[in-house]
Amino acid sequence: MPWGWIIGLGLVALVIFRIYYVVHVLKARDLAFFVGAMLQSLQLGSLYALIALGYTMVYGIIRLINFAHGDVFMVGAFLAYFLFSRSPYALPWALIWAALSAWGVMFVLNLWRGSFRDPIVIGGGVVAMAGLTYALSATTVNWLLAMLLSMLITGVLGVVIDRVAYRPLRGAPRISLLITAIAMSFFLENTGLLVFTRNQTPFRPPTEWTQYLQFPVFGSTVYTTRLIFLIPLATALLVVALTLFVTRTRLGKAMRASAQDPETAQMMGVNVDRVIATTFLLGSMLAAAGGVLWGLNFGSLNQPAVMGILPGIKAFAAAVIGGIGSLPGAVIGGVLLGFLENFVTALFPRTQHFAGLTEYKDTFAFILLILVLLLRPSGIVGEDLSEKV
Amino acid sequence: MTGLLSYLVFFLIQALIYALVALGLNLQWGYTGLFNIGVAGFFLVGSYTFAVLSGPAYATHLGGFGLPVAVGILGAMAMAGLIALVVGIPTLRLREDYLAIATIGIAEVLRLVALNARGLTGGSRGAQSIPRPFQGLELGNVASNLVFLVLVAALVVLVYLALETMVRSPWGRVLKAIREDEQAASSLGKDPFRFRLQSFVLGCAIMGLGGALNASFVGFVAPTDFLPILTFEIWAMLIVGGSGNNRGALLGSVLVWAFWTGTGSIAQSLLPSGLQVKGGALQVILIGAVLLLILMIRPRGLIGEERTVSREAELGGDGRT
Repeated sequence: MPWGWIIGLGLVALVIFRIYYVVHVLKARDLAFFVGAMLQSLQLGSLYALIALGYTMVYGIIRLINFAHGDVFMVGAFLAYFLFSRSPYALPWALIWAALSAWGVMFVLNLWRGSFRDPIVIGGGVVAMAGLTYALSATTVNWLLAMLLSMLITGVLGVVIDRVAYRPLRGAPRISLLITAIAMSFFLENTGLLVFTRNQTPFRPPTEWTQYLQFPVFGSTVYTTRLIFLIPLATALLVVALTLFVTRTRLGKAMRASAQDPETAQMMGVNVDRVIATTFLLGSMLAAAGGVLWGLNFGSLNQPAVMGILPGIKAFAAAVIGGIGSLPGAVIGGVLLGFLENFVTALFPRTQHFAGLTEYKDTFAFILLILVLLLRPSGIVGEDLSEKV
Repeated sequence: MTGLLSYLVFFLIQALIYALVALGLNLQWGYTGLFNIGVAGFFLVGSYTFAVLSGPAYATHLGGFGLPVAVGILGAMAMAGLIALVVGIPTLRLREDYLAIATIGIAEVLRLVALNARGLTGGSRGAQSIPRPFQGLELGNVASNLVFLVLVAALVVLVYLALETMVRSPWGRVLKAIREDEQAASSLGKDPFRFRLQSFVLGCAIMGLGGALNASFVGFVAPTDFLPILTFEIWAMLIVGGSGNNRGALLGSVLVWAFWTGTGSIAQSLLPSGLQVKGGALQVILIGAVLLLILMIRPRGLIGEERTVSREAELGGDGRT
């Protein structure tokens, strides 16, 4: 499609011209600032991409906007926070919590393996038990371990949400499912308020990744943090792992088949409920990873009732922009959104006569969403889903 | 006695303002099946537009046009309708969930803009001294409230009658037909998109009217008045009263608002101050429980939608036409 290329190249030319204008005419910023802004945009975009993947996977299979996904992201971040920051629990309590979580992990693994005696189910339970007992009773916990454990538990939470809230409604009108998802979102938010905290929470695990970093570019200096390596790299790793899973494994093949046509897949012997559970597991794990990286990036977590809302809605917008139902689309949409929010704001800095765009940056995602829905409802790489069925 | 009476007036004004918003939502959801979960956003647009158009000049943000209250209200409705047009045109052709995400998104965005764009809205401190109608008459507090109540009640009656006429007209029948079976309606030559858009814009304009009246009544607006919980309340009103029935929307608004304020004041007088903060969460859970109960006992709400039978079937008598 040549028009796409023409519009894309035109936009790039406009951006380059604007950078030139800001640097040489307005003399408001130097080139190094824009290099920094670009890196930050990539960082933010990676976070949106991680959340958007969960939306797009679920939508691709059961055609549901999982409104609770943003709150699953919140839960993931807070779980990791409590694992690494809480003063250690006494061993009996740690054992009880660990046993509960291990049971959850085994329950979920059992959905795939079909027997509690299966070595994988037992192994998962043992890993969860050992990891959580250690993490809850140790004084300092590495943030990476906290993240992995949080991903595990949040993944289980995603499967449980599907099992108790969405699965009974398969075949019901789509609107019922949507309302249930909203109710689940309210439920997670308010439970978060009761269980976690009511306040904004600092998120500063002891790690070298948040240290400042500066390097010279174009005769000036870029100031950033080491997260600039961590966040895009971690995202890339997770995306590659997900892609390998979806393209190379039997379950991944079943996922693709169910996304194309659930009924036919079912007739071919695919256990669609199991596939949907897998989707929720993977999506929620990615959201939890996104939540932890989000916390590292901003140094704090918003209070549970609001933390997930805006990132969640924006990430869904990103998924639609990229092409809902498509994994590359979610990544492209997320990164694009990161650039739109961060880089466009950087292109229009505050000057004497102009207040800057920072105050309005939260609107960009929706302006772009509306434009995309108007001009190309299937998104950048998506298949055509525009007709109402 | 006067205390109770003036409280009653106060209560009724607020309930009737919400009733207007619920009527707007009823047109969208009850008659057309449009899933608007950004009610708070359109309410916000009405409130702020009214504040800017009719309010006094503010030192730090936009305002000072000093237009008459009636013009302010019309402006608020037009603005809410305009935003609805912007949201509706791209989304109403698509599946229903696109409207859901666009409305919830636009509501959050509008709230954030109200919070952040200080030059436009006054930021977190909001806009103050928004006028009431007939302010020049220098009425006392009670009389002013009474006059306002009469005005709001008149507007509710007006909107109610207008909506009743509309939904019983051929136009309203098309809306219901689209809600029930879009393909059948379009195969009979009706353009679902156009009818949906009309219904959506009109409903949002009515929500804007509610917002304007609320701003005028309370006298100031701030971003915290427009949290998603407002949308939840309005939905609860419509579901409890019975969606698809305008009288249901009115009844639901009064009942739910009575329940809401009632539990609020009970919580305030009974709970120790330490637990007050949790009282709010408890209220939401209570409303949710009531909603669930109503949905279990009377799934169609207290006064559900009336049964519509075609004239042919009625004349035929045996329903076999």
